[in-house]
Amino acid sequence: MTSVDVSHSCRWQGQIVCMRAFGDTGVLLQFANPAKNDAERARELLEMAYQVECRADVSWQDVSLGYDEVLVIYNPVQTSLGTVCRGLCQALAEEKGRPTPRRALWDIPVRYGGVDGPDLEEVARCLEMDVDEVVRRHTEPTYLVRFLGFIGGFPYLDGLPASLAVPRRATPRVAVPAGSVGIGGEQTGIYPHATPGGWQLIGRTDWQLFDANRIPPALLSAGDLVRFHAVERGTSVAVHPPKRRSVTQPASGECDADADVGDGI
Amino acid sequence: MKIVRAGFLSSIQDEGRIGYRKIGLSPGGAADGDALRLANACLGQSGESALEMGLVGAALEVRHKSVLVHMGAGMRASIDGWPWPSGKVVAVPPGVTVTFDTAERGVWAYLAVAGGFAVPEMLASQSTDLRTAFGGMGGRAVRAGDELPTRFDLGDKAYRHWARHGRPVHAVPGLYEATWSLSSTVCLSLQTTSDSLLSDHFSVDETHTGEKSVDAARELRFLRGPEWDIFSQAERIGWLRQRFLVSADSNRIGLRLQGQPLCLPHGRDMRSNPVVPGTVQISGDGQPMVLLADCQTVGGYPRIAHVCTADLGRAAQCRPGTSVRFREISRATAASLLQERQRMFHQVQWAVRSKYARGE
Repeated sequence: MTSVDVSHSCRWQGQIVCMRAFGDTGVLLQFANPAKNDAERARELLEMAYQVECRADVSWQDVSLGYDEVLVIYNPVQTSLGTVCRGLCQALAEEKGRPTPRRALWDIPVRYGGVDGPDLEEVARCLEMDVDEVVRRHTEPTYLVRFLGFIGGFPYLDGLPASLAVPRRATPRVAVPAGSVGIGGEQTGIYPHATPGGWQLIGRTDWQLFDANRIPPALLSAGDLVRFHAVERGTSVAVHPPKRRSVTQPASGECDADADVGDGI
Repeated sequence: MKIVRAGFLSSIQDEGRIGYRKIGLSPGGAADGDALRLANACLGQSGESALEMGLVGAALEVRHKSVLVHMGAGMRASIDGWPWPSGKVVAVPPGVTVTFDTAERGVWAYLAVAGGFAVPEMLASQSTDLRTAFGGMGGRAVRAGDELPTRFDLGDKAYRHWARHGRPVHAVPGLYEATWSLSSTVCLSLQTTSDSLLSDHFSVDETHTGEKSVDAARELRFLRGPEWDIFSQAERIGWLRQRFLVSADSNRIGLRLQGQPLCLPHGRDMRSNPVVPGTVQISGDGQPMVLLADCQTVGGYPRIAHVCTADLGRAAQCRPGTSVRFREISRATAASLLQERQRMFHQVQWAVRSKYARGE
């Protein structure tokens, strides 16, 4: 018994992409042989997702991203699974003007500890290092935004040093303030707005990660890079982050998917 | 319309915010999209926002002439004391109070108004995103004292139109009721098109709708999910045979079910991957959770199945304590169920429009 038949498969950059039906409204795309290395896996999935988005057909309602899969959602009243799969194969087959994702690098100012990071001392105790060391290790890496989820604008970040992994709080907070930077297990992230949450809060930024009235509403995009830097309490930090800058130049292929990820803030 | 009493959880919802998964937003929208669509269809419109009310409804003071209908959980309602059945379109004068009581058959009821509510559209939808806190009335559930904006120019026009074709309700001066009604049980049990839906009087006899009893196990039809295979055959058979009880901590995010726990396969590193409303995850305690409108865009539990889109509204309407079982259907069946559903909405909408265009 196979759960969901592979409806189609096609080639993309020498790799086999399998397409499976997902409920009655979606097609799930996975690599038949994903890269062993997680960073490489992330890169290939992000690039494939980007090409799907750029070549999206009007009958595809949405594209969603996870750690290992890309989901394309369609309206089954308007189109069929077969049509969507064929369209996807065509979209992935196009070699000419293959778009390169535009990645931005964000240097996010964070006030660590104190009222902004009420769990910092507890985290340091738990990891048996001093508070400054936790901050130093947290500000060291360049994190990769794998995708946004949980709530609007919340980044799933790759790159937390293993030495900073701490269990979640035994009792989740009823309201985590907007901009809080936390660690939960092996993940780190930023809460875009006040919400219940169980992560250990180590700091806070004034940058607005999500604002439905802004274009684009979410500051970060999948594929972006993030660094944190520590700022002193009382330092005035612009609530409005700087304009988006690409660290990778858009190649020949421009993409509609970038239309709403432009420079307007 | 002014909110006098907010009810248990009332918020402005439409058909959802489509196309924003890449910034982490699920479609949201009405928990029972079918009930919302039917309510709009009764008013001869489509795609407008409505006030969604959960379990215990709101009380509202009508400010301007309006045309209203409510649909969904069979909520008991009254207009200045006059009992107002669901599925009955009314033209109401300013100054009356519309009071909703408790839901009798499901969870979610929809108060639709001719012309829709005039809250601003944010990211292509008027829906309240309660999790990311924007849209609708300031990104939150409505509260007593809120003024829900309506298009009173359209309301006034609709009032004159429906009053001309309706029957005056003598108990309440200025109140008119339509000469037909659409039974609310229709949308709780939308399984097939009911022929009687389009009978001359537009009335639908509750006995024709196929829902035998509130207590009967509700059947949710499903397609296999990506992780169906990781469960042993015994687990899958157990899943198909058993009846689950809807737990009290179900909400707009998901329907939590309780039954004989499913054994989760060990040693599988599940990472967060896409989920949609309808996806059934088996959580850490072995219990299924049917995701609904406000679910996240990704989930980290095995996705054993997907409830077909045509049954999503029925899933959302399951009250705590309802017993639920699952039945597998083919993709072709799921598609035809949806096509049929779509036809029915169009039929109702078309029939309402043409009935009134004829100037009866």
